[in-house]
Amino acid sequence: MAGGRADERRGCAVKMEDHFKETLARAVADEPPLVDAWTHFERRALRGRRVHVAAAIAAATAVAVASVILVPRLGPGGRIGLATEPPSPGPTSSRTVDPYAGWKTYEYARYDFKLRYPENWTIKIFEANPEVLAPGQKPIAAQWDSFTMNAAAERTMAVTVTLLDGKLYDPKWREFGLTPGTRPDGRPFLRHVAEPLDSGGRRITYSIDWSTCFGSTGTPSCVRRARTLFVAIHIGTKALGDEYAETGEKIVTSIEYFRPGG
Amino acid sequence: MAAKDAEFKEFFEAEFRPLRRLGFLLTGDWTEAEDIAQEAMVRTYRAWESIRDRERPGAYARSVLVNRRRSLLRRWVVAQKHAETLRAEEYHPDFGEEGMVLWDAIGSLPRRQRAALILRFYEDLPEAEIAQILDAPVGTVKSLVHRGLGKLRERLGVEWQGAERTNGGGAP
Repeated sequence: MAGGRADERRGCAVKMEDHFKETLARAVADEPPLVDAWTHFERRALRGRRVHVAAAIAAATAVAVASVILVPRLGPGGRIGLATEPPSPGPTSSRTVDPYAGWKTYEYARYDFKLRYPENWTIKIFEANPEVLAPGQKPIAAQWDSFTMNAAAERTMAVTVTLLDGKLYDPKWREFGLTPGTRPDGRPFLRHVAEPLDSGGRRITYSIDWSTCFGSTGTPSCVRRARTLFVAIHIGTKALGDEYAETGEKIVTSIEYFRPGG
Repeated sequence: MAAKDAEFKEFFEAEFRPLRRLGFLLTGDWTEAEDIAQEAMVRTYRAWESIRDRERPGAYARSVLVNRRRSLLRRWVVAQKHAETLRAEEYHPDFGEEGMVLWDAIGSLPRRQRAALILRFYEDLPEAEIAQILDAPVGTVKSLVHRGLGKLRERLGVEWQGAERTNGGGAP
């Protein structure tokens, strides 16, 4: 029927524009409640002011530190000398030690990765996202408070893995406190240590380039798709950090690209 | 300063929810919508003294939201927060099957086409105002809307192809 699709229920023509309007209205009909929107706004507006002040202080400090450290090292020709002699190579050993001896291996084909984790840790999956939990810890996903929409993760020690579409790393972010690095397979990543929690805990996050066909440029049959593996070490308290932070980092280090049969 | 804050708070309470909805329609993600609506409010607040007298602050906030340049850093930070802030995945739009096809088609439109269509048909703004928000000539807005609707019709199939040929086929 010219002018629109026949709507059999109402027996009338529906214009494209009306269908569009109705769809948009339905899209926002079931929306999350506003939770402390004004408080969040106040914090954000205030933080913006603090960032400008902090940036100015940081820049001044950097100049001062650079002048103290670098100027004494400048030789007569203006070249920067070495602060210390390079370490002499120690005795080498042909024996290699597996740092993950006694650990279990977890393979997750959905996100194309595998990792190692201690025997007494556990893995839970929530909405496709694996959580590697230290002994006795509850999954973070099970601690959502549906009223405040926050996770009560202050008591949890866990490593969570999420796969995101798109490339969420860029070396220029180092100026924002994100540290770039390269994994053994050549995949770049960014590491970020969040501000400490009141409990003394902290969160360390990694965003790893998890693009498909990584390293296989020039292979016509392989279509590269940008993806990021987002890994977070949640350390709920200082005590948990003292006991497990190192293990959490080892788990992240153990992550490898894995595709069954690939 | 206190008077400015009180005045702005009134504006915030009236406009934040509509802005967040607009953000959702533009991004398809409630977490991101909350984030960009907050960012639009912060920028509007900073410009408050200069905009409140000469133009509608709501239009200014929409302009900031629609023309946002989402930095990769910001996306990263939002992604970082996603695991513990907003359980956005619990809020899925309830469309019929056909509505879902259209929603997917809207999501596939180029950013400015999508923005122009949403401002025109959800916010019911006149083309001149959309042109101001998008910082583009009115002719460009007309073209964005026309081409956007065309693409949606293409995606929805032949049953919608003839919609432009008549004006009398509207819903009662």
